Amino acid sequence: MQQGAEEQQNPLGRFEVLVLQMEDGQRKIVHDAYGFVKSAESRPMALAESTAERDRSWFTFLTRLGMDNLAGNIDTLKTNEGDKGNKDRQEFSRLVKLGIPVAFRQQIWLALASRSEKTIKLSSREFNANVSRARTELPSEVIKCIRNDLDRTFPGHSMFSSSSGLLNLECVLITFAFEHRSIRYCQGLNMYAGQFLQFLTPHDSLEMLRHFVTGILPETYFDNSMRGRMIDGLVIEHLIRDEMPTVHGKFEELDFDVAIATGAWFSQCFTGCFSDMELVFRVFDLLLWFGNIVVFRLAMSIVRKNEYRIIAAKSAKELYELFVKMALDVNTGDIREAAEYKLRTSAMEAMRDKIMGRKTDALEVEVERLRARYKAKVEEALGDDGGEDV
Amino acid sequence: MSGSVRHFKLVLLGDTAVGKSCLVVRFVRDEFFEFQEPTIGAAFLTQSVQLDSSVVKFEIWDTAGQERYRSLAPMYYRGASAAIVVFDLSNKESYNGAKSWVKELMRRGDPNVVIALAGNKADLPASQRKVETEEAQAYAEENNILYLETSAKNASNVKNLFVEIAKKLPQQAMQQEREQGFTISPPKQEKKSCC
Repeated sequence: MQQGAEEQQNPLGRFEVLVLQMEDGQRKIVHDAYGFVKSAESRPMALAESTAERDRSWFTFLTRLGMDNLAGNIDTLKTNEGDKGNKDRQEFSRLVKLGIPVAFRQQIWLALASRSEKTIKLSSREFNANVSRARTELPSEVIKCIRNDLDRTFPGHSMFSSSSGLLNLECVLITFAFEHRSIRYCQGLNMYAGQFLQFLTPHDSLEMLRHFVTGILPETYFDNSMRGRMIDGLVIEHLIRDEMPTVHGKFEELDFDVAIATGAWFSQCFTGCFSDMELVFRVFDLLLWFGNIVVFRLAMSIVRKNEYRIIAAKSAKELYELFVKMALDVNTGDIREAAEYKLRTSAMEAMRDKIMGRKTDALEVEVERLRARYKAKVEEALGDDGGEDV
Repeated sequence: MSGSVRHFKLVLLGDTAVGKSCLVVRFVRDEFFEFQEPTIGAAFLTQSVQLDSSVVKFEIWDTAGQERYRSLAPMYYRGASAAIVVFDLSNKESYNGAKSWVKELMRRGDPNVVIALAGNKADLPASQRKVETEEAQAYAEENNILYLETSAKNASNVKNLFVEIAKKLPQQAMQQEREQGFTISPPKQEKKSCC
């Protein structure tokens, strides 16, 4: 059996163990609760709120739902009909917006990515077989490319300083590459895989990676053409132009490209942009339940919150730096707020939808419309040579 | 210390893992990390160099190296006054990659862009070297661009690289040409399954 494919024992128990101090020459290395090296710039304020009440609500809800076979129960939550189904979904949505407690996150994430407990044990053998197969059948240049990035993934993180941690990362990435011909390996996928591996087994991390890349995010973020990124860059700019014309005017005045400034927000779902890993995991909580639209809500909400700072900028340089700072300033409260983000210009549409009895979200509708519109534009610019995605 | 202050946009291009980010981190913060995270998309940093009678402030775009990110590169080199094209002296393929970047810049970049070719990882033992100084030097002369061999690891020639570029930049900070809106004009890329 591949060493890297071993199931990890009690992955959640690790959090406590990783809070340790080591002497590394002159420098003291302190790992945070997620195993990352704590930097001097850590901003504890981002997580200052108390979660006791939230955790109680989660506990009550999950107990009512049934703690045994939690994964299965959450799975059925997705499709349950009738009043009870709706009520449960509403409460679940409310709770997800508050953030999933660390203690339940693993199970709930897997359930949301459609992994019921039943299938885990069965396919873990298959997973090992797939890893071996990928290792022998994947083109060697792809493997080389992946190996190139292994020890550059979360350097300093306690997990990826060990050879077994790196091997797990390799297993996930090569198996994913083997399964997804049109994507193979794209730099950035290592970050997603690395994040999942922090509290999921390699097998579950692969499932989660698959779910994120081909289920939640546009696949064209990661394929050879990367057209999805170009499209969404144009979409966010358009949304800002419609919603905050003064802000957009500033962008034009200073020749500032908001698609560039927000690129990592979209392609990495804020990984590496926020001041604390928990904040990124909060975004992932939302993504798994509400979908890709969450990133747009957050991006728009961050820009709106900083409208005045943006308008006061004097140069493009200042704006690029400000956008980095704006993301670093995000705290848990901002994420909760962003989950409720509504278009200012959506009043009419909301009314229309109400009359028609539709339950749609104006931002979602608008993003879909704009994506379709800019897809054509980007494809035209690419000379329809953009890639061979399915 | 005095004189005029000029601002210039500078972009780093080159294959994956040749040391683009390491060069920038060495130049901007004078640090070096053995395991530098791959750049996703691009990173923005600033740093100045002091010349005899003026200060040049660089606004630096450090880009991702993987082949498929190449389609996004024009977003970053658009309007750049200077470009550093980096390759790894111990990796011949990356040298070929660098040459294609130089070609692309000459064809599609700003007509006056100052290009420097940087052979990085010069600290590695001679036995690992795959690109000879003479070869790269000759190529650079032929194309009228700068060539320096650098080591982000031991800092050799890193500051010098930026100083040499600063010296070649125009005395008046150029009014960057403004293009309206967002242009998407990626180059035709070779089809490769990976990087």
